[in-house]
Amino acid sequence: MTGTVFSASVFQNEFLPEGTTEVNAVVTVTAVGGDGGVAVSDVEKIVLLIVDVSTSMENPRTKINAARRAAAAACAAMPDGVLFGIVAGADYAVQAYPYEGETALARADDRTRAEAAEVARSLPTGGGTEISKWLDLAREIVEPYEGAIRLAYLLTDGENNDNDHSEFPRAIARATGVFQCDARGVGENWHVSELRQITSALLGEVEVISDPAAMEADFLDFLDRAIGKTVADVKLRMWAPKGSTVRFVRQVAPTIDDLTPKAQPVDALTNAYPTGAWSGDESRDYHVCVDVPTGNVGDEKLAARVSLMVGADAVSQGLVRAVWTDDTALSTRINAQVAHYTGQAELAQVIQEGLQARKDGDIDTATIKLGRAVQLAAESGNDGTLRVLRGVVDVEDEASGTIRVKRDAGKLAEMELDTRSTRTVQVKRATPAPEGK
Amino acid sequence: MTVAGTRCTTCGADSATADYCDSCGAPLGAIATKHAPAAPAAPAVEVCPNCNAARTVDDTFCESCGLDFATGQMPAAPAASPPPAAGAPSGWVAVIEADREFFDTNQVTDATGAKPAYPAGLSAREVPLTGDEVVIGRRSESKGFFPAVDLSEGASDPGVSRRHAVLRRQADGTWALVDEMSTNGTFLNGADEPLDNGVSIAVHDKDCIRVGAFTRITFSSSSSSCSSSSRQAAP
Repeated sequence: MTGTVFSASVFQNEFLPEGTTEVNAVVTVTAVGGDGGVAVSDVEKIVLLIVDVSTSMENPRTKINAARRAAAAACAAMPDGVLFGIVAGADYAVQAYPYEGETALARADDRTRAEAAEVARSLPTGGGTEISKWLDLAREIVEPYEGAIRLAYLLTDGENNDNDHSEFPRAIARATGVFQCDARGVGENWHVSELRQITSALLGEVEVISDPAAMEADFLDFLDRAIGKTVADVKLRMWAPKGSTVRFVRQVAPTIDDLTPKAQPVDALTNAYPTGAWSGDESRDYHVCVDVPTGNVGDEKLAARVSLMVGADAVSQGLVRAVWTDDTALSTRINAQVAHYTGQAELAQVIQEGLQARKDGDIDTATIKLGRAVQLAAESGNDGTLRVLRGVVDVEDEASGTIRVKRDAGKLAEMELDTRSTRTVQVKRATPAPEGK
Repeated sequence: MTVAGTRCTTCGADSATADYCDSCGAPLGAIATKHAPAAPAAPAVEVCPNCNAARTVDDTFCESCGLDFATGQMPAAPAASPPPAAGAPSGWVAVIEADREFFDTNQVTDATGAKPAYPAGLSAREVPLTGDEVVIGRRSESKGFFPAVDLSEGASDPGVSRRHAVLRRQADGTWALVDEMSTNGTFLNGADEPLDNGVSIAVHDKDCIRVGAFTRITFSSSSSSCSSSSRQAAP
């Protein structure tokens, strides 16, 4: 392990009225002290660039040219010591660097950087799009490097071919837990939901790149963040008491990601949830919601023990408690963090529902949903989401959520809103109550 | 996973964790007593249980004796004990009395917003002025602050600020009075307006200094006080 130190804080109102069972808490996990940004670390880092070279990238040619340039720039910027490679994907997948047919990776130095950049600049194009093949090859390449931080950056412009629809989810399942993957869509002929399937399972983020010229900057930005990762394979482990039900475990900042379906049972009362690699300087918030068997007034119960696991070691823990009381002044208190993230989750949901309604031609529903989204985004200070919402709706009044759905909004604006809908803002911290170490 | 665990008294399971039962979540050991059901809220206390000084229910500490209402602890003894009277006797004294007329005319209230009780039957006491600077105020044991003219002694005057005013000996041997930004002001010789904060005013033999809710201090070269009748009527 590196010098990264994790700490967990729990935000909740532990007081419950008699007879209730639902316990909510926000657990903030903060990592500090890694050697973020510097490629000196005892953890091996792998960066795999997966570039779409299907024929559609030629239309217009600016797309493939921008992708080539971006990949070349990323190769040239690869920090010393990082293991890297390039996968070219179409309706087949090949390892373009280091050299076709090999499944080893190159260690970044002056020579390999120059070679890879040269390869990237001349990636040949042709063929359809079968993303499952790209994911399978990427997995085969990185699989031998156990314990390393394994990251991939997938760049595509098109929707997956129909004949890949059964293999696509299977390839994602095979890659899950092997490597992490960010995805970027270029242009407007791809489906946000498709790429989100990849990034949700592979713990990455999906973004739209509307302008090919922005590709290089985004690629370098990803590389920056990838190199900052210092701890591989961190898991959130949650214990809940006998007779309880975990309603959900949700990452709520920096993005919303429901971890509930990713639960890996540890024992009868404990599940582990993968959170991927962490840098030495980041903070993520998790909203946990547990139903516990109810207690009498005055009873206290531990509703959840949330531990952060690096390998087999618990590096930090937070305790979520339940105390039953007949004092309504206590039990009706609203915890600011829990309320904030409940709002952010609703924001993401109403955007998805609003966009779907708009797609279905149900403008009334779209107006209600997106109006509520404007209201929630404005209330919580989520300016980024508010900005992209304005690309799809005309806002009359933020506070009341009075809007008109733009009928002529471009597909790109819609996709941008879709990809950004899960981006949250952190609540302003008042007085954190640190738990654990 | 249960190795030499703690027996949970709630569900009977052996818990591998010592803070809460790893089966039912009930608190174990120290946690169980720490989080015992809270006693019903104590009735609103209007006086300090230690020194009977008036307080509001929102106070954390007693204004007078420094008792911590939450813990019932007295403040830790300050490093400094009441300083011995420093400096040579000046030959001047402060005569401290309760002044009924002053009490009846001012609007000074205690911490609860109520007019304090007049300390009837209080006899005059005398504090010799020593050194070049004599502080008029109220002591704070917790802060280690002991003014020479301590108006929390005897009948504690709740209207007097901690560091209320200072008598200072000038180079020529005369004395001057300065109000130290007190809350309720310092009144010299029956004036209706208090002294301006921080401005030195010369004091002479038998001058009357009125502070707080009822305190009259006579600046005197002997043990006699200024009489109430010397107070000038307002024009």
